[in-house]
Amino acid sequence: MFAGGYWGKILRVNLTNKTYAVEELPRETANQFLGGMGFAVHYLYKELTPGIDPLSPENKLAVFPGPFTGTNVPCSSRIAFAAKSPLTGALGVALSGGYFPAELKFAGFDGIIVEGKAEKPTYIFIQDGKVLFRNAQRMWGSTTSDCQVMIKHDLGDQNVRIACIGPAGEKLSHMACIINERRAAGRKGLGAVMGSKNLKAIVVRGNQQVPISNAEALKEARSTMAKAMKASPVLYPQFSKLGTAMVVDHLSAMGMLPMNNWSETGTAPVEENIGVAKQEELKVGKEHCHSCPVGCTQQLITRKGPRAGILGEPEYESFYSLGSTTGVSDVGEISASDRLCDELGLDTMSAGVCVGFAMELAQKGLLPKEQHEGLDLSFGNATTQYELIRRMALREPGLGELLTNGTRQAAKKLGGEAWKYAMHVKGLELPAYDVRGAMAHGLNYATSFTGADHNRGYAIQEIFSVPVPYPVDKDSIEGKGALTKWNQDIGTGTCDCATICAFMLTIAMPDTIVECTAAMATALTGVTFTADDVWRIGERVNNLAKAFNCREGFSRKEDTLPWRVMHEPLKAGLSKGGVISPEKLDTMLDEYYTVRGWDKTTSAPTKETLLALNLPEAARDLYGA
Amino acid sequence: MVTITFQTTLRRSLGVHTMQVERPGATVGDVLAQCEEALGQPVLAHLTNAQGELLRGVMILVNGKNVLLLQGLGTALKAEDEVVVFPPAGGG
Ligand code: SF4
Repeated sequence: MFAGGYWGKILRVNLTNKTYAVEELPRETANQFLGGMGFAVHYLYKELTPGIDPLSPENKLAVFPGPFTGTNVPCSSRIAFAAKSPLTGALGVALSGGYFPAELKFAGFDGIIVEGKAEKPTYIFIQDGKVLFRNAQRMWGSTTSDCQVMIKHDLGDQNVRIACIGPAGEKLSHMACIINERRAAGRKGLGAVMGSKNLKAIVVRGNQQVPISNAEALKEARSTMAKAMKASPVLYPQFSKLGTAMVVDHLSAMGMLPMNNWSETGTAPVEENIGVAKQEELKVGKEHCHSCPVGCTQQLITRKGPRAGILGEPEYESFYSLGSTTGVSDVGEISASDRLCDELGLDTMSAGVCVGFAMELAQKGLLPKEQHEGLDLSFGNATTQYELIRRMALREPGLGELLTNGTRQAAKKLGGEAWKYAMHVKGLELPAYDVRGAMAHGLNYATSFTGADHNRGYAIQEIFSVPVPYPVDKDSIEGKGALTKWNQDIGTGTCDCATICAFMLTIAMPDTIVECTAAMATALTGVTFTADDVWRIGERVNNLAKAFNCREGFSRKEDTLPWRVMHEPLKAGLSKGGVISPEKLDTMLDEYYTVRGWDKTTSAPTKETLLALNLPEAARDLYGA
Repeated sequence: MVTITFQTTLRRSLGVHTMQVERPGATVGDVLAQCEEALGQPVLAHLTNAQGELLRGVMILVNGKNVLLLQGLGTALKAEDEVVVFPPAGGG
């Protein structure tokens, strides 16, 4: 049915009955949603009943690579994991890379939908069109590395690829992630969704080659992409050697690397302690995802102290969440904490922000001393950070239990003024950009359907002065509604749906990625996609995801920012004085909703908008027949 | 005096963080060329392509305003202006 890119097969697995079925991927779905996150949003919108408990058997886990995945399109081994998020209550999507995404395509599927709940700990093994339900009792409780070792041994096959959860997912931490190899679908607590289903792992093995409709045309489109990658002054000369954490220096110099739970951003440079030069001292190697010529993952080894010998792969985000925002200023300690999160299956970002939150509450007397459990909760204490990660992941009574469901829930339990210092949007902890110095980036945090998410709508124009589609003033709110829509839709249509690594958009080819995606999708699948189609797909997916949230009761009031971002201007640094006041946010939101065709009062897409995007089901759900 | 601050990799490769230049009426490009002379090593080569255009991702702020919204390298400077120069970066 498809000439290439897709197999035309979706695997539906029911854990309750231990059954599976192979369903046809309708051509219309491919045309409208392209793949990856697009398919995940489409199926979850269609199949999830509004109001369900995210940790009940009624929730479903959607696992979708893109049509590019498993081919030789550079940096295309990406996969979207999605479900209703226990952390946010909204639609939760997290993408991962590595080798698991490509292997799922080699196994002959365009995606998996996991339903129900297994009676006992289980892993599923998918090989060349068949599914086995295997006992995971022995692996239950294991770390993510050990789980992968045990499963390979259990199957007698060292070449399987595994996406699994650690103890945090089993304990239903709302910050639990899914780990494949050593990469993470980190955010929104999707690991807890697997845990709630007694699903320890999804294992895949395949030998089939993804078909290509027009190899010549694909070669040509690929070479355009390769040229753009080579022409980038950043991708190979710097990023490939230094990885994402190269921007610790950049964001610190911009006065936008959040420090001490966002209370001290810009007050002191951090490069000397945790910048690139210091990172290089501990560097021992790097890693690539499948089909990636860049290889941005940096491996660091902790050389001293109680955690000496631990190999970590901390990204920029971890240098913030487990570094600058908790005050930890030692690269080795940040790296070790990052590894511990990965091993226990906890999102490094939310986990670190929770630690910083607890530290600030302790400092302010909002977390009473008797609740410190003997820990020194001063900013900068790496041992406390390490211990809190463990307690949160294992949901230990006391602080572990208090923090393991994120800052929003913890603040609610603590009461008083704790909420003012809970750095989240819709329950999702903030990423590593103090948005008081970048207005569109802030508006994106407020409006992204997943909560504060730098993987949706990254404002490269503000953070890296990339003048595509045009240069902007990072501190001005003017036109930021339209820019945020642009950033969200381009990322969704290209990287999240096709799928391509997001760094190809943000670093290598912001000006050509849409045309290139359209050309490669056409060559691969035999279905004609124009650049307009790719834009439209991005817009459609973001609208449908928003409709999902509206159906769950989300409205304009959830499109907001933490109190601190709206009321405490940055004290120092290059972005000094920056703040996104409620008035500024309101002005940006009005513009954003207007350009999106969304209702300014409810924030919901209007009926006309939904119909124009060919989403009649969503129009019916929100507005009746 | 115009103050020029070099950031991140540029700061490391030039071995200089801040310079001060006395050039009323000069443009950003002039001032950077003068830094180049004083340092005895290329500065603009880190920031421009063969045609002399700013590389994508270079961020030069004059008193906090991005020169892409002013006159680029041709932006005229006044005494006491503060220029901050970031080479291209990405990731995160
Ligand atoms: S650039 Fe980095 S994250 Fe992207 S595909 Fe390559 S190794 Fe993976």
